Amino acid sequence: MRNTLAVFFKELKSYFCSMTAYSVITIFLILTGFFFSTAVSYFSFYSYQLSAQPYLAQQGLSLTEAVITNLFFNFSVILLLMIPLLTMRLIAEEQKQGTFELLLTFPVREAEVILGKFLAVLAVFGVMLIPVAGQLYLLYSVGGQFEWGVVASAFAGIFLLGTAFLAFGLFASSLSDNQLISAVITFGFLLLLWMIAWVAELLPPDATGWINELSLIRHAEGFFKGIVELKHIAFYLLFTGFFLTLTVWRVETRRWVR
Amino acid sequence: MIRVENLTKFFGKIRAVDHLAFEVKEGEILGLLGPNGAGKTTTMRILTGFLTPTEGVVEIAGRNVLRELQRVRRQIGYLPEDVPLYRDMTVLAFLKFVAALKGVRRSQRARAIEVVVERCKIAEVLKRLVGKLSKGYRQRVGLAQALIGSPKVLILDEPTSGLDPKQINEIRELIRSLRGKQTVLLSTHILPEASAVSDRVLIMNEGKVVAQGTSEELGAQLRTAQEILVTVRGDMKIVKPALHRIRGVLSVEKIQSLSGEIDVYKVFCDKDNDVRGEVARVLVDSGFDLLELRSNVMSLEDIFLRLVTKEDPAESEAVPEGTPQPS
Ligand SMILES: Nc1ncnc2c1ncn2[C@@H]1O[C@H](COP(=O)(O)OP(=O)(O)OP(=O)(O)O)[C@@H](O)[C@H]1O
Ligand SMILES: [Mg+2]
Repeated sequence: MRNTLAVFFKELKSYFCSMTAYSVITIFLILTGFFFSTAVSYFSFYSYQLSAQPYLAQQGLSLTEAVITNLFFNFSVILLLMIPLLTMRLIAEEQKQGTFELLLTFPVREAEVILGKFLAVLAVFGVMLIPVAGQLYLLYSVGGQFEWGVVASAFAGIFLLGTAFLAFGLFASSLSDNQLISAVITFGFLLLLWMIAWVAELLPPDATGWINELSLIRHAEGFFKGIVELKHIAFYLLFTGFFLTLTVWRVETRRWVR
Repeated sequence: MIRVENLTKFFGKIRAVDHLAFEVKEGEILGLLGPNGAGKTTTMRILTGFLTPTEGVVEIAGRNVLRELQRVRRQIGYLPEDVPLYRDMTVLAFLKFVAALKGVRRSQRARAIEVVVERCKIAEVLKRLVGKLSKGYRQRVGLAQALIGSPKVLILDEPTSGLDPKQINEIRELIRSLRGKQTVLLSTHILPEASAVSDRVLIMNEGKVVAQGTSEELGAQLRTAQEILVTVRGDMKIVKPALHRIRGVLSVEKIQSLSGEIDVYKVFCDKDNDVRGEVARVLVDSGFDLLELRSNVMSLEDIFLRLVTKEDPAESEAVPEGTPQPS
């Protein structure tokens, strides 16, 4: 535990000292801000049009449905692009610089090191989401009406999705001592698991179920609409656990090169 | 303190370490000497548990490295070759990080760091980024991290490579000051370093031990003949045969003529007979002035070079025709 914390703080510091965190967070903020403002302007545009039609105007448009669901879907696409940039250095850099020879000859376990690194990048990701919450708060403060339950569930969904992305990114980082290669592997694999849902639509229905289960995004869609289901939470946690374990295994077996 | 037995490591088909065996006693400083690719780094990586051997046993402080890796690592301070450090940390942050990972108690960390900072003389760079340090300081920081927590065993892979002579001296002195307190295994390419710093030298080549002992022992073991240099005033025609007649002398050669009748001779004799006394007596009895007599100890460097240079028969054969000859 003490070792994990030491690695955690060291990695966190290095994210913020090396400007990686700042640049990724800034770009993420700009992109989400863009999506956010377009979503809001569309919303106001349509609400205005609707107000001309008395029948529909009575029902009104739900801000939650129109903005939140789409917004978080867009955020997850941005994450697909940003997460590889956060995770690529975690292990690849140590292998390149040779610092693993130092770190892994201290009395620490590989699992402690990997966990520390994972928690650090998870924390950076958490920090990334804060401005998003800020944007929603802004909308609320000018009179927007939200169903807060849906907002919370959407945040939980994006957090779980991001966690799974990070775990795979960490694993990919252990596959190479070249950061760029790790990033490309992460992006490619995550994109594949994303697109697999589209393939499912072309296949006969009995095969669809399985493939849908593999799709990373399918499990998040419910969260964005405010539906929290245990099986989706379990999927992301298992996915994360699986790749973390694989990373530990990968780093441990490095000793046995022959 | 360190016991290595039958240690073998293959990388694919390359046999980097080949049935290596040696021991280092508590408080001893052992120099591991060998040319590039001899397997020094590989051996040290196995000792620190960074690599697993293909075969063989390594014990440190009585514990098997394979079976009790974490416990063994607690006893080791390691300076890897080329000193890989976290470049984006300040020296102080880095040392704190190392102290935490080495399990130094929180209350003792500041003191533990203070001690190594003073020993390695890095107080003036504590606030600077490791990546921006000069080579000498980086090496010192590397050494400092190895020393944190006073591990029983220090494994230093080429601790002085790439340093200027002043720094080399300081680092050697630092290592020598550990004698008797900590057990040290250090590697180097250069023999003077090994013999200057360590109690005992182990010469490695192609993964095997080729010789080991103190520098005197190595000299005695490996010298096949002794050389004596004699400076005499006298007629060469008489001096030379007189020297030749001494039992144990193999050959006499005049190598230099100084002013007047003074000549310098090189006398070869077999290594078991110390003929120096006899040479002096014969020359003085014959009425010559013996101006100087010293044994020309074959330098360890020569021995080392001889041990690790394998004569390649193909290379020493005649140069193929048509090849331009350097003149
Ligand atoms: N990870 C590896 N994969 C494949 N071969 C390796 C690896 N590490 C070392 N070797 C090979 O093992 C042999 C011994 O290398 P090692 O680095 O131990 O030598 P060394 O004595 O430290 O040399 P130097 O003085 O140059 O540092 C070399 O032939 C090297 O090419
Ligand atoms: Mg080496």
